[in-house]
Order: sequence, then C-alpha cells, then structure tokens
Amino acid sequence: MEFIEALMHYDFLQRALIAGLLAAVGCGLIGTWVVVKRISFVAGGIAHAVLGGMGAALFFGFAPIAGALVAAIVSALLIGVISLHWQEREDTLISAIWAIGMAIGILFMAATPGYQVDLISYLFGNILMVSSSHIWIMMVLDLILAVILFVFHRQFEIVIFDEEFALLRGVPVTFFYLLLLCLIAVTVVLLIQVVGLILVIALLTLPAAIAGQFVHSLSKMMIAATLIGVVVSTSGLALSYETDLPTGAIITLIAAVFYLCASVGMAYRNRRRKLQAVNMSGVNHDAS
Amino acid sequence: MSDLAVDIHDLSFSYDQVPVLEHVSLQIAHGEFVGLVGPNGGGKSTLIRIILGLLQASSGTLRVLGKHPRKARRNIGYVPQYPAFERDFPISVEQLVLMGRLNGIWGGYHAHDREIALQAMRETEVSALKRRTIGTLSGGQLQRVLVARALACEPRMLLLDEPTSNIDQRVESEIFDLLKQLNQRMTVIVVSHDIAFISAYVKRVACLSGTLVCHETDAISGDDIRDLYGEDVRQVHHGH
Repeated sequence: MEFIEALMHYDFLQRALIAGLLAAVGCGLIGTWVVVKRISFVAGGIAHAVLGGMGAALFFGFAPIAGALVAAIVSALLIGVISLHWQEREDTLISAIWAIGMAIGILFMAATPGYQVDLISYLFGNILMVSSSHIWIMMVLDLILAVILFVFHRQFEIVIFDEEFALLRGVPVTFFYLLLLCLIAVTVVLLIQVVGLILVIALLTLPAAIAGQFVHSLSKMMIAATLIGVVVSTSGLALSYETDLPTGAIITLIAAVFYLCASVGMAYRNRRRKLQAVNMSGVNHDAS
Repeated sequence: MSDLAVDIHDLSFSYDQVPVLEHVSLQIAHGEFVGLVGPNGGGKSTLIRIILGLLQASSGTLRVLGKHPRKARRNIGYVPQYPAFERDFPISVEQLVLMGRLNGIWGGYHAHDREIALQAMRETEVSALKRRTIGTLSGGQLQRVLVARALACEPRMLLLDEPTSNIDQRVESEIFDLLKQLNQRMTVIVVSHDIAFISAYVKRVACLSGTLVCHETDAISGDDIRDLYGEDVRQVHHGH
C-alpha cells in the first residue's frame, strides 16, 4: 500500500501514527468511564471550554496546549461541583459552560492577529501537524492517566457504580469524581490534537461503547477500547492519506461504522438467542 | 449506653422547612430484630439515612453503636431500597460483593478480602453466580447479592431499606428467613411498608409517620394499623 511506503519516508506521517496510538490509549482508558457513567455531555462541555483556554493562551502569547490544559481542568472542576451540588440545573449550566468557552475562544482568536487558520485546525484537528514535543506531552499524559487509574481502580469503580455505598465505605466520593473529570479533561486535550474539538466526543465514546458490547468488566473494557482505538486511528490515517481527505473526520466515521456494525450484530445475535429460547420452551411444552 | 445499637433521642429533621421527622426517640438494643414500618413519606428512609450519617438531623441526639453515625457506618451493612446503580454496569457479582471490603482512599482487594466475600456469598446462597454480570440476575438474586455485599463489610448491624419491594412473595419469605438467621449474630433493622408480613419475623416494630410509636409485634391490633395508615393495611398492600 502507498501509505506504508509513505510511512517509511515521511516523519510527519510517523508522528501522526504515534499520535493516533497515544490518543487511542487515552480514549480507551478514560472513554470507558465516560461511557459507563454516561457523562459524554460533561466531556463535551469540557472540550468546548478548552477552546476558550486555547484562545486566551494564543492572545497572551503562551503555548496553546498550556491554555487548553488549564481551561480543561478549570471547567472540569466547575462542572464537577455543579453536578454534585446543583444537579437539577446540571444540563443548563453545562450548556452554558460549553457555549461560553467557545465564545471566549472565538473572541480571543479574533483579537489575535493572524491566527484565524488555527481556529479551524482546533475545531477539526490536524494530526498531520503534530510536533515531536506534542508527542512527548501526550506520552507523559497517557502515563499519568494509566498510573492513576491503575492505583485507584477500585475507588473509581465504587464511586462510579454506587456513590452512596462508596461514602459508607469511607471512600471520598467528591475527590474521586473530580479527579475523574480532571482525567477526562486531560484526555480531551490529548484528543483535540488528533481529531479536533468537534470530533473529540466520537473518539472518547465510540471505541468504549463498542468494547462494552463484547466484554463485561471495566478493565477488559479499557483494554478492548484501547485496541479498537488503535485500529480505528491507524486505519483512518491510512485511508485519509490514500484518499487525501481530512483525517479527523475519516477516523470518526470509521469508529461510527464499527459501532453501527457491532450494535446491529449484537441485536441480531440477541434476537436469535431469544428465538432459540422460545423454540426450546415450545419443545418442552410439547414434550410435557 | 454501650448495650444499645441505636440510641435516638428527640430527633427532628426537615427538608427545606418541611418537617419530615418530629421528636423521634428510639432505642434498639444489640441483637434485636426491628421492623421500621409506616406509610410512604412517613420518613422511614430519611431515618435510615440519618442513622447512616448520610443526612444530618436538625435537632436531637443520635448514637449508633455507641459512636457518632459517621464513625459507626463502616460497621453497618446497608442494603438500599432502589439500587442506585445501572443494571447494565459491567461488573460481576463477585466484584460487587467485594466492594464491601473497600476501606478508605487506598487499597485493592487481597486474598483475605476475597475469602470474606466468598463466605458472604455462600451465606446468601449466591456463590454459584459469582462470575455472572449483575445485568443477568433476577430481582431476588440481586437482592441476595446486595445482602452479601452488606455482609462482606463484616457489620455489627444490618440496615435494610425495603429489601423486598421489587420481588415476589415467595422470595420475600426466603430473604426474611435469611435475615432471621443473620439476626442470631447481629442487630437487624428492616424498613417495610408491609406491617402484616414483617410482624411474623421481627420482635418489635417501630411505626414511623412523622413521629414514632413502638409496639411489641404480638400487641399490634387492627386499630393501631388503621391509626397509622388511615386505612386498612391490606388496601395499602394491594396498592402496589
């Protein structure tokens, strides 16, 4: 294939491939928790608030990724406190943060001369422009994610599964919930490099949702989601190179097609099982 | 003092100015099997949550196992009314029961914890289900698993909030037989709206309808029940 040959020659493609793999690790590890806890809307709010941080960083002359990280953590903590204390207003307030983040980002970028091009690349991502320093940052962030999730796996599990029981066992629910949202925030920043702001939710939720159809424990789901993310991002990169189409969009659509196939396949299997069970019970009735 | 599992004195609680519990006093000795009954909205679950230290009483005093409720709650096995979790959560029965072994910020599960969890599953007769995911369990099986999780805490007292509200009557009797057996070594407090059913098992019922009245189970008359519910209890029961 043309892509494999090109991969040997162009280091921007090699970096893109590595960035895709690192993003797959992050989205597999954290996406599992997002899917199981059903908080992709929260992740969306964090992702869009990130734009505000990036805009501000550009305007004041800092590295955009630093601004993105700060904005992501701040909005994660804000959303966490809201969902813990004002649950009845949660969706309104998250929507507000979502919109305000974008508005701030657009204003700052408009006020910064010559950066209009960057807005598009943040919205849709440009994996082909990933620099080697980005790769290092992604590697460190992945490592931090993996270590924290490994050390506190049981605590996260009980807090996400049953908050009340976690409290009774002396597990600090607020602390672990906010920590999880911060980890989501960090992952969102990782993924923005690869697929961009708008498609972050796809890569965060689809691989884990596919994995959740086949495996039934959190640790297996994290591993399976990571592997699915690796396949999706690599094949997406190859396909977009061959067809000269935007990489983030291709990666997202491949994930969506996998998800659709898995869902339809599972529904078909469940229906067959049900039919078999009905037939079996019919046979038993005849026999008796 | 130390021979009381629960010592509540003149306790009141209100949600946003609306009084839920008023001047409730209740003493439960170690080893008792007490039923907490009353109409919906009578404050049963609220009282349970106060005993667990999940809610703070507006006034009055409360000691649980001779301690402040927040300090006592790790020694209490709690079985919630409606499980707060999603039934499709990817977790096995064994992992769920093991949650009773968690303690504080640090740590996973050791061989010792698995042994205790297994023992709890044997006692509630769910050890054969330990590899099953919770989504595949029936209502009665899930309830037994939740009791096993409470037992895995190695509790001195069991608190159950309507443990049989989602399951049929035959399984309900099985669960109460199990509770009676567990009562031989620990205090058991069980919330129910079905006074007629639980009187056959518990030694004492506390009737909660804003305020508290206690009865020995053999002394309950139809009048008491009508006073509490304002109608015949059978009608209350059939309302579900």
